[in-house]
Amino acid sequence: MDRKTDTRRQTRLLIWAVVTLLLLATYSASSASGTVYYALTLQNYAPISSPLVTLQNGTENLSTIYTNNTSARIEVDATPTLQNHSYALNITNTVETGWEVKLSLYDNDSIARISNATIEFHNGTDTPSAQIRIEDGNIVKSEGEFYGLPPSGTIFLRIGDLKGTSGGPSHLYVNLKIKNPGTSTYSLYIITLEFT
Amino acid sequence: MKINCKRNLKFVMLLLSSLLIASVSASVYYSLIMTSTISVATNNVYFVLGADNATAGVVLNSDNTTATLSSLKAYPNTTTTYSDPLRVRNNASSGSTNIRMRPISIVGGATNLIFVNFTLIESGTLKTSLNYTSNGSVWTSPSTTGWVSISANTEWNVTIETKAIAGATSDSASVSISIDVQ
Repeated sequence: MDRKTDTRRQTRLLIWAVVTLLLLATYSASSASGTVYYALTLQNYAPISSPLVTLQNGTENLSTIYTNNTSARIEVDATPTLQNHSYALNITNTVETGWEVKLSLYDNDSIARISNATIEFHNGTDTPSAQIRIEDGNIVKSEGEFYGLPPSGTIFLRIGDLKGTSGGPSHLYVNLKIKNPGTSTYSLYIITLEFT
Repeated sequence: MKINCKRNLKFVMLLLSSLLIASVSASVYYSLIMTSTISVATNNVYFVLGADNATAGVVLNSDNTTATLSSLKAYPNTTTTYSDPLRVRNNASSGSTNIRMRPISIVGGATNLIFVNFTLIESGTLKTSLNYTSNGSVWTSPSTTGWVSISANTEWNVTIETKAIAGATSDSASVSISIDVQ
């Protein structure tokens, strides 16, 4: 009988001891904080490739073509006499995939002296597609519609109806946007037009 | 076998006393107690293919948490933009979730590439971006972006821009980034 009572007392004491230890541990433990998140991983491989579309000097020999044939400078005189330069720059597709191209003006200076100019694309036989237009010293069209660059084909940049007064040079800074048809993937080439 | 009850009792009391003394004699401090409830989150935010995923060669793993883009290109002296290769979707039915972009690594291409930029776009509006830039010899790794909130049932485009230096003919970079979801 005594032995049983002692065992119960011991058990009770042990339970109290454990409870006490737990309480002490709870109150002395330091709290921790953290940000729980999970991660989505994006792995990309980006090799350098040769340009699929190249710029070349047109038959009127007005353009300077820079390294890699991906940027150009076109220099023409703007005088009171009306001028047309139908082959100022060649845009050549080097692959068997068609592209869509358009011009977009991103900067300019001193264009008040340009009374008229139209920058447009054509393929030698079709009606030119107007991309950028200046009238009476003002830019009235700063971006064109997409124009087809056929597989392994060449289109031409034309400067039409150009008239200006003295006081140059004036500049148009233009992006040539080259887009995969049916997608939103595109490349930008820089073309500078200088009217002296 | 007789158990010495008194001795055991003394031992337990001694143990308790020593614990109390030990805790009381410790340095004085106070605690801020934070009680947290942590539940297992379901992946409401994940990748989905963008409209022109084929151009960038996007492959998603089985649970749409890893995307591999193997057909990206960088052209010399040309900025090339992949506007919609991949999207981040918040598939929750309500509320919003915080996400951010975090750099992991970039290997190779520092001498011939100028930048590799990643941007999150919501309907044409830039939400945040992570830009790796090279000075011609080494890459500068960007800082992790701040958290931005993506609404439920919404998809954001992951836009990628690349550019190589003029005259570059060959080289490549392997870039890994993380989109953390809070």
